[in-house]
Amino acid sequence: MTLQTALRAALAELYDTDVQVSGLQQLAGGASKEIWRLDLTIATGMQTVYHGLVLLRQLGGKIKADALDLPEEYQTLCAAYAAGVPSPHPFLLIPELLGKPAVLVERIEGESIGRRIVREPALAAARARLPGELGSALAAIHRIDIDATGLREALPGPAYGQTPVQTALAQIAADLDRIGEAHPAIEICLRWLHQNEPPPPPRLTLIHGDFRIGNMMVTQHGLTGVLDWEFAHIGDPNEDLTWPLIREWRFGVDHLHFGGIAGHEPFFEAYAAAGGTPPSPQVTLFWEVLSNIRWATGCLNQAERHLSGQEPNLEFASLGRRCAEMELEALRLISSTIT
Amino acid sequence: MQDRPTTQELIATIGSFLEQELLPTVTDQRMRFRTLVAANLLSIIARELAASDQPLRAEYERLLMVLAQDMQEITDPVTLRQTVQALTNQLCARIRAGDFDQGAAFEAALAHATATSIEKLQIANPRFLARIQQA
Repeated sequence: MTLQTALRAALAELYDTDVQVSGLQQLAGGASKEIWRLDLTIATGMQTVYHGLVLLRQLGGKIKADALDLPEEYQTLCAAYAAGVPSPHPFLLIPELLGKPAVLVERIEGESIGRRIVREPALAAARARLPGELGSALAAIHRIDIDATGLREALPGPAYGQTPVQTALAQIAADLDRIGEAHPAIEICLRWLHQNEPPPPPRLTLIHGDFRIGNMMVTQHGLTGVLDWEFAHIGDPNEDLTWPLIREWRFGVDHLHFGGIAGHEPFFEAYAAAGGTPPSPQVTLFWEVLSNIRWATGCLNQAERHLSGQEPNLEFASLGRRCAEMELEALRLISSTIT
Repeated sequence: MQDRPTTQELIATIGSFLEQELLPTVTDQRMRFRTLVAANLLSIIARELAASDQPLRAEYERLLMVLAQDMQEITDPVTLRQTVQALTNQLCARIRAGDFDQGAAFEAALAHATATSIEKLQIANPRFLARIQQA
């Protein structure tokens, strides 16, 4: 059965009427998911309703062991959408479509590719608005009541008796051991992070987990949606506040600390204006070191998916040789504190 | 001895085929991206071959200094690679045990790891290296 036939059958059963699935087309991106665009037409007696949708299908592998399964990702997206975070309207969770879970969300138009967002002349006005819009959006994410929404139960969080930092460091060390490659740079950073951990946050919040340019849908008018909720978890808000700052997510426009589009100040100011507490420069640097070695290890994990033979993939393989970029950046950040 | 094209010449030939002949005919965005990734990986191989075992020798000498061990003359490239691997494993275990947390030991380990990351990037991504060293 083709994807189109399966989708049509699943939706026809749900709506108890004939539906048309058209324009099914696989889109770029997604290391752990397939992403398709499609148009859905539902004829219900008198009227015909049309939906422009995106279909997400879960693949076998994951970048990190704690990436969410699609049902939990969908639950998180629903909570964020309900809280007013600009994000795709959740449309439907299909527990099994051709043997894999799938999610449908309303399609939002725009550009999400990072290197275009930081450079495209037509997006200059959007770049001026994005730091403020993303600061407010992040504050809204961190304000979500994780108990009332059930997210504290549904999502991974710090290990019992540990701070989010301690759990993150243990995860990185465990990943390194499992992969079995020796990386002195990452080991040095792990020790430095253990010894320089700032006080834990006053309260744990929902963390998007991959909050950066490249995971944001943007038009010339600015932010239209926060995408890619698969790494959502419960943790320290400073994680989301500093992840978009690291060199990797500046897409070559290195001098602009926030995602290659601005300094971090307008982002932090908007976050503060919406009720959040941005990190000090010292805490920002700490989290940037952590974020860099986390992504360095993520690259090794991706390469391992290829090297283990489980998912032969050129792009995964290439990431193994990118680990050193994040290593050097993390070491330079640490060095800057001791001179 | 093999006939020409040499290894480097073959790599250059495949590289220009991918970028100048194949790429313009590829319309699928995902395949275009993968073709560029493939061409980039090929250029990594070219740089790695050109550098030979010179970076590995430098890494070996630094590891001996950081770990305070005596130099042994190693000529065989496979043995050199295995020795660097074993010494790096040792260094990692000792860093994790806290032996390099403070003072001169910390700075020596930091300097070694920084030099090693730079050597890796000279092969893997010299453009990134140039950018970050300007910053």
